[in-house]
Amino acid sequence: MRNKNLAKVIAPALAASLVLGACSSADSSTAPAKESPAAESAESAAEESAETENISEAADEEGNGWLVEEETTITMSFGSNYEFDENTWIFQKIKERTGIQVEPIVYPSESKDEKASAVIASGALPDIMFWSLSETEINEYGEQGAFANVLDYVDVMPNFKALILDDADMNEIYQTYTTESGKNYQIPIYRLNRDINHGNLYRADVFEELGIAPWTDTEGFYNALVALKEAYPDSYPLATSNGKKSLERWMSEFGINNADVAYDYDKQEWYIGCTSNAFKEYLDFFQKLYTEGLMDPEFLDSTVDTYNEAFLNNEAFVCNEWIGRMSALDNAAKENDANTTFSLEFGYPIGTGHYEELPQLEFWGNAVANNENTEVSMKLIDWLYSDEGSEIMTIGVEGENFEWDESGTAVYPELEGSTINIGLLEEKYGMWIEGAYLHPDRRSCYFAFTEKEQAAQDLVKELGNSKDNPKVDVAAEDTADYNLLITGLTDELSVFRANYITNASYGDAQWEEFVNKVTAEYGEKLLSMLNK
Amino acid sequence: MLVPGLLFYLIFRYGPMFGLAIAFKDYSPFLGVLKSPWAGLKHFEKFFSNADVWRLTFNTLRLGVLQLVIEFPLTIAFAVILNEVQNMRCKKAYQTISYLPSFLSLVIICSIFKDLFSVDGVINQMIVQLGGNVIHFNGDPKFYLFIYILSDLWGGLGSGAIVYLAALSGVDQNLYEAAKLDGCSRIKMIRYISIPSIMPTIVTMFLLRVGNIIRITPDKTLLFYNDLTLETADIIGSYVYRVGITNKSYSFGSAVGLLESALAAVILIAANKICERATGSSLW
Repeated sequence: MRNKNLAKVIAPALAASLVLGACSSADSSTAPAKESPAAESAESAAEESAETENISEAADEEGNGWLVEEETTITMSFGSNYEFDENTWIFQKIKERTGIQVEPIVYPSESKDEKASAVIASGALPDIMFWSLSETEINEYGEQGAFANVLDYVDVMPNFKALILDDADMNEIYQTYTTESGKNYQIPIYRLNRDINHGNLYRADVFEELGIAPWTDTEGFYNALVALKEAYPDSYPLATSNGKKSLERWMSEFGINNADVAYDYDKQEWYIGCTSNAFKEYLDFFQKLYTEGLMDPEFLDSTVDTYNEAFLNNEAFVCNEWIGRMSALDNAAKENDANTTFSLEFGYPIGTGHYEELPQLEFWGNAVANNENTEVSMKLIDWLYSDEGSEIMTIGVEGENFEWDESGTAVYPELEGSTINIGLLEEKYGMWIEGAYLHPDRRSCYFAFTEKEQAAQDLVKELGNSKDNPKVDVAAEDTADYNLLITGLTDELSVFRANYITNASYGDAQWEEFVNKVTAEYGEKLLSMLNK
Repeated sequence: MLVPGLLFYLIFRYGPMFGLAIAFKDYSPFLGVLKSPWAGLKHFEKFFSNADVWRLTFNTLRLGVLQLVIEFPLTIAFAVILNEVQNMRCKKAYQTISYLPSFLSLVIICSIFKDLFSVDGVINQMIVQLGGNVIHFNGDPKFYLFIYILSDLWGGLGSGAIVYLAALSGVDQNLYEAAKLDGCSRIKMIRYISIPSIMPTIVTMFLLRVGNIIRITPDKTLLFYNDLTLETADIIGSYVYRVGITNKSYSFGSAVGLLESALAAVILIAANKICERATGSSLW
């Protein structure tokens, strides 16, 4: 017995130390993170009634109506760039309403994935994880007993049931994540997305000044960049803000939902995105832009700072970016010069003429640990789906930290003078913690579009969307091999894409060599796993 | 008296070696080391059947050798030159200035060098002023190693020289005075007194560095490389990071880490033998 206990303590510690020793982590500028949305609130929020009644009873000051019989403490881990503890406003509100005291375990957003990976290696999980685990990881570890099967707790999750399981469309999506053993470990985010978050933006004032008509197709897009270059020879008209990630956003406009594995809805089969003709067209197009000096030569190392600087100094005029940048940059320009005509506006997609659809249910890798606190954790998760939880998490508490004004906009007296966005609400109150807003309130600032943002939503509705990839479904026994192959393929295609775009001598011969290599080394094996 | 030290080594040095077992298992943190199924040499085979294995090994060795061949002697040379500065104020000022970059985080050092060598950075501005064309240093694999080593030197020369300065301060001053009376030049004093006196330190430091030729921490690589330089820049450590940590393939990452350690041990033993024969000094 003694040996067994000792092994239980030492084994995970040893494993973690070995893994960490073997792979010391850098300050993660490479770490990939969910892009947190943020929004302006100049326009009043669209009044949209919540989809469900608040099924859990409201708690009173004596604790009647709590989700638990006596105060219970659980741990919750998430990524953020702000500091929180159990006394943070949001956790105090959660305790008042539910009786559950949350002890936050916060990792910096940039290195959240690496930290989560190290914690997983130790086997010691927090009760609730708002991390970025992939669906295959969640299912693999869930089947091994690490995560709780949500379907086992439906009895204590009336709000989750009403929103997701009882809604035929939502349930259909949710069930695609159910494992072969009939379990589902996923905690999805319900209706977070707007019609569009990222798209092509352009300096409307410069276009107007130069008499350039905003593009409606790829050729128009190219001609606009050429005209801009002629007018501003020292500029690189097309800019990116996040290295190759920005470049990847244009792929969907060319009809490739993913460069590694993508789904062909017509043929109903998976294919390797980077071996498709559409990918070649995409590469040829950007090679042309690069060769002619129409795009930032250091696009792979671009950051938000380099992007902002280029736009504010007339060194760049077109980009594919988060739509909130329209007001952010307009405001920044006005701060520099109150009389500026600087105006960033939303433009048409290029390629196929469609932006990619955004899902109704987001699966960001949230999960609940399978331990003695699972039921309490599930009750708290369910509360986050409730109208009360939704409002507190994404708008606040009326009369306490905000009031509705006449136009139906939430006004925060303590934040008077600041532009209200979700980042500010997270910093001040702990609301909008990444991943924990399981049912964002449509009256919140996130859905309060500026005039330009609303125009973007309307345009995308009018144009219609291209379909996103369906869920990648890999058998448990193939997961490790699949991950290795994807890593190899991603490296291979990233290097090829960068070299193709920046090297005018790359053409059909290099393309064919690349396609053959990728197909032989990765494609056939990956597709045999996916098209089973 | 031995017990605390022995316990320390048992718990924190030898104990963790038990975790090496996961390199031979399909490790799951939730099954634990003992209950995870054995996988034999599967992960080692996977690594060797990987198309990139030789490229990764070559890149790692090349970077390790360059660091050893360029940085190691330059650090000693810097310490010896600093030791020759007679004006104590100047000496302290040089030492402090050279040591200051050590207080900067790696992220900042890498950012400084990326900015310096960017298309509109200081170096390119100088090139343009002198009539040359802009060079895309950060995206050209030819310049990757140059920038990497240069940033290593800038960030680590001062701190690396401290060990040798400490060793030089322990050299008997009577030797220098006697040599001066015999008409010995400064260069000869360095050659026949300073260097031989600190030779055991040099050998020890050399062997420690040789052992790390293949074990290069990937932090700087991860901060410096991009898709254009990946083929030149990618080393075993950065690959293990991407596969082991990012993709949570712990067993595979550990297997590669174990191979890396085994190779480092072989190199260290060989270097120790060579040093023992050549200089009479060795680690053991």
